[in-house]
Amino acid sequence: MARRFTVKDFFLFLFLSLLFILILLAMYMVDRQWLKLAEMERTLTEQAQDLRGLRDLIRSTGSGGLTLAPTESGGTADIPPAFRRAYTATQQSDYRPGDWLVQAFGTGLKTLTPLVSTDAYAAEVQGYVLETLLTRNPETLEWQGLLARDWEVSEDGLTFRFRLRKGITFSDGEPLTAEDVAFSFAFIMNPAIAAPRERAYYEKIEQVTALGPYQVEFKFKEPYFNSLALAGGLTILPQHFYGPYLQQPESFNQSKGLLLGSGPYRLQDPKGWTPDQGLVELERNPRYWGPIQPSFDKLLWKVIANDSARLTTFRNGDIDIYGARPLEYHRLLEDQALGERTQHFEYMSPTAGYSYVAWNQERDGKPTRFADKRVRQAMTFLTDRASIIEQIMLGYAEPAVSPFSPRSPQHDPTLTPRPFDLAKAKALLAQAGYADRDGDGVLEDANHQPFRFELVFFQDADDTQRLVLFLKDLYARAGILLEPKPTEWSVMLDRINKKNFDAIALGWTSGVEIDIYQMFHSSQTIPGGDNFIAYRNPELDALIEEARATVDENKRMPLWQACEHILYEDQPYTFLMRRESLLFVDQRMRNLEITRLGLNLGVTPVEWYVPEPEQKYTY
Amino acid sequence: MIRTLSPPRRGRSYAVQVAREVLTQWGARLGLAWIGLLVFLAVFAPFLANSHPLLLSQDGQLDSPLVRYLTPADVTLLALFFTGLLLALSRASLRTWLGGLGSVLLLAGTLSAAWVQPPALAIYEQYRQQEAAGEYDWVVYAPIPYSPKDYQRDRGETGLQPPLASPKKDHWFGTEENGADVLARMVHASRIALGIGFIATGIALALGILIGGLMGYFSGAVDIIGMRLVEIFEAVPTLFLLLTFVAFFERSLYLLMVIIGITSWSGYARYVRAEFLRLRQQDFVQAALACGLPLHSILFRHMLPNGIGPILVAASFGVASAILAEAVLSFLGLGLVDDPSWGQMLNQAVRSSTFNWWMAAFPGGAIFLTVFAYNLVGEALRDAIDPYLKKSLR
Repeated sequence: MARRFTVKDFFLFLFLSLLFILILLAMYMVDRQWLKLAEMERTLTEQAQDLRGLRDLIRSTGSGGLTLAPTESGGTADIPPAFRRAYTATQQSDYRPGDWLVQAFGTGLKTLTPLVSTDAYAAEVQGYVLETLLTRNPETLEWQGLLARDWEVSEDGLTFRFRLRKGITFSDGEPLTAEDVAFSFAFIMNPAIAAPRERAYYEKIEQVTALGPYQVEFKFKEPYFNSLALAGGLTILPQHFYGPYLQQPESFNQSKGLLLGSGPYRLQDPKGWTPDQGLVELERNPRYWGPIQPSFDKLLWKVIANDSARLTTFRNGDIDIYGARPLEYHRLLEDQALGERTQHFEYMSPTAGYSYVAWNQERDGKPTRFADKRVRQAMTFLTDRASIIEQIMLGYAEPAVSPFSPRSPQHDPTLTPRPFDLAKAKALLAQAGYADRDGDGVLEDANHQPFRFELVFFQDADDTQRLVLFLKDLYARAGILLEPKPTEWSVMLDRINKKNFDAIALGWTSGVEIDIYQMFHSSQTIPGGDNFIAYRNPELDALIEEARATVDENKRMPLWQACEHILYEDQPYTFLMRRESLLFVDQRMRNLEITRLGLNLGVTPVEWYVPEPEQKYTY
Repeated sequence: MIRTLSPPRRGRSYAVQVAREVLTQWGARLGLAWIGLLVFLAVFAPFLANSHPLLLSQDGQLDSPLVRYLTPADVTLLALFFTGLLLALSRASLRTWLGGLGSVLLLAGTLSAAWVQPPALAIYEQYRQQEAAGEYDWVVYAPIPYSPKDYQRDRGETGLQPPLASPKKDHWFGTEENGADVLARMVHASRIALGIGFIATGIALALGILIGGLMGYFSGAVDIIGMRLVEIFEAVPTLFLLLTFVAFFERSLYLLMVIIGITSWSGYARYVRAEFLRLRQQDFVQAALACGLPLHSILFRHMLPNGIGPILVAASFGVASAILAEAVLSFLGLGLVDDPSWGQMLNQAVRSSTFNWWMAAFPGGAIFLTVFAYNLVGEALRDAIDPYLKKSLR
């Protein structure tokens, strides 16, 4: 006889399931307690370490003259120049540390580990965690000491000696010494570490030696115009943290979030970040050595891939900064609600760089039709940059003449961009042997091949697609057929590596003074090099080499200008434009300022702050 | 009362019967009317929306740039349409329909490919500029005087303007982000929508009937292997396959059609298999077998017409889903670059930070109506051929 389900059974089941749930909850609770305990333990050890350090310090200074709070005395004399701007921010009447700065990334990050990461987003995060020996003053663009107190250059310009500040510690409490500087260089130059780009860059340095705990010497192989920036821009990695990875370089190369430095912010767990968290969170470094502590308690970056979702998040006030595209910017300016709680900036950032169309001169070992200088010049004459900027960028851009910024002394102001000139372009094409031989409106070359080419561009950039369609219509006027070829980023990189394209629309970022060796020197036509269009000009090669080896600025600038004249004549690229950065920032941020390096966002020491009544996030 | 003698009514064929049944339903009539309108728009698109003038007179000489710019595809479509019209007027049988359309397609296709050669370059704004310069005596434009790829560079439009934003430029449905006329693009996009629906479903149907028929007829080991194949294909997510293909190969409409076709045949194969499993034991099949008819004759002439009903129902839903698949791809920005498509236009509705209602309403409405129309026709077809439903209604 089958047993019936009675009330007693019901209670039994109820009891059993309750028991099960209770066990589960208990397990969860114990787990949380365990994590909390581990966290407390870690803070305790760190604090014990700090105490020990303090005790040592007191013992070494003797019992007498130790004054805490040296900044009380007032006066900016004890503030190092690198911190002066941040110091003036703290002197504002409404200054108050606290609150968070929340930003958004358009794509997910692959890794935060320095050297391994390649994207600008990771570099932005690392800028708050890692520090360099020197920084540029945003107003004067002069170099000034950050980790280094001062430095001296030898007579021949080949040896640099830096004296480090005392008492600098990494965010885990270990002191930063000259050994760490020497290690950082050795680490990059170790071929097992996947940092080929940095390695190519630092190849100019012969060796870095620690002369004492606070003195370090950089020795260059040959004179190089940018040697101070190269040495001073080396990010200092802690030896005790990254050193063990020399034994197992693969685990470093594959790592996702190994990030520890001496900067004002730190990852809570310097080894534990993973991309699947969907955000990057930096907390204040409690042991920051600098005389001015950063204002924000926390820096947060959320990953929001969709453009309109990112904008909605910004509208809702959940992120503080939004970079807009021209058409969007134009519309958002008219938005009353947004205008009331945001401030907006449009500025030409020197690091934003320029966009261009590159004409491939050699494909499958044979010269293409763009190998002829006259054809490239004609293409530039056909590219109506004024209309492009007016119609697509809505005026928020300026035409580019050459790789050099018009605000840089590298640029010769007598050169102006070629205007749109259909007649001149047609004349040049006719000289090069192009004519409409069969009456269909399309130009043919001497072998009766129609002038038709593919323009490869990145598929997810809307403005680029509009630009390409615009170019298609412009070139059609001269009888040239352009076929748009939207491509995925990985496929595009592959095509560049194999030099498998006719023309490509891309951009380069730039800096204050840029080195064009990478893109235009003929030695870089090697596989994997950045001269992927097979552009060779021996005259330019010689000029680039000479300019790079000239340390004296007054002699170097004319050389760069001579390079510019050659590029202007040869048109290896059709330089399109330099875009303005169009930025919306939440109203509660203060002390925003446009410097010669762009908006003072992301500069360390941090200069922005939020006054107390407007602070939004509190612990 | 005198009772008049009426001639005995001719026995109507099953197809005609089903067609009548379908046409009694209002939903199906509306659906068919919408599809008919789309067919009309697709066939006459170049005459309806074109920047090239229909007819112009320059220094006393007549010229028709529109006709010069007709493509082989335009000519073939026109030939097919008029053949279809003739056949419909002459009340031809199904066989003449198929034969007539097939031969015209082949003939017109090859002839126009050989003879019709439109200029490779089109500068759309030249007519407006020349007209403004007073070089023409008179010009007649198409009803919508814009081509789908005419981005109106001469007017300096920055794109995305609502309908009738300025009285001088009569864009009835507004302009899209590059400044092209939305109505013109929608008219031309109806070709892609119809084409992808019919061709993708045609490929799927052919494959499905062949594989499903063999599975159902032979059953046994063939059936087991075939069903595993069906399961394998059903496990492949079409959208991801399409995304991969688009990323690594050219963005070609024909490639899209083929991929949608070869990934969606499994459903039809299941239907056909079930029908054929049922039919193969029936007397007429056994009789055909006993007569020693060849396999293709048994499969396609005796069994298929008896089992085609449910498949047609599935196919009408399949057309709708193929149209949706293309719209989804275009919406994700992976469709065609320059060519118009409803999904791609819909994608622009949420771009540029504002909601551009006209980019959502018109192309979105067209997709909705088309999918809805096919579904209505499918529903009506199902009702018409379902014997049980018919009995219960009466």
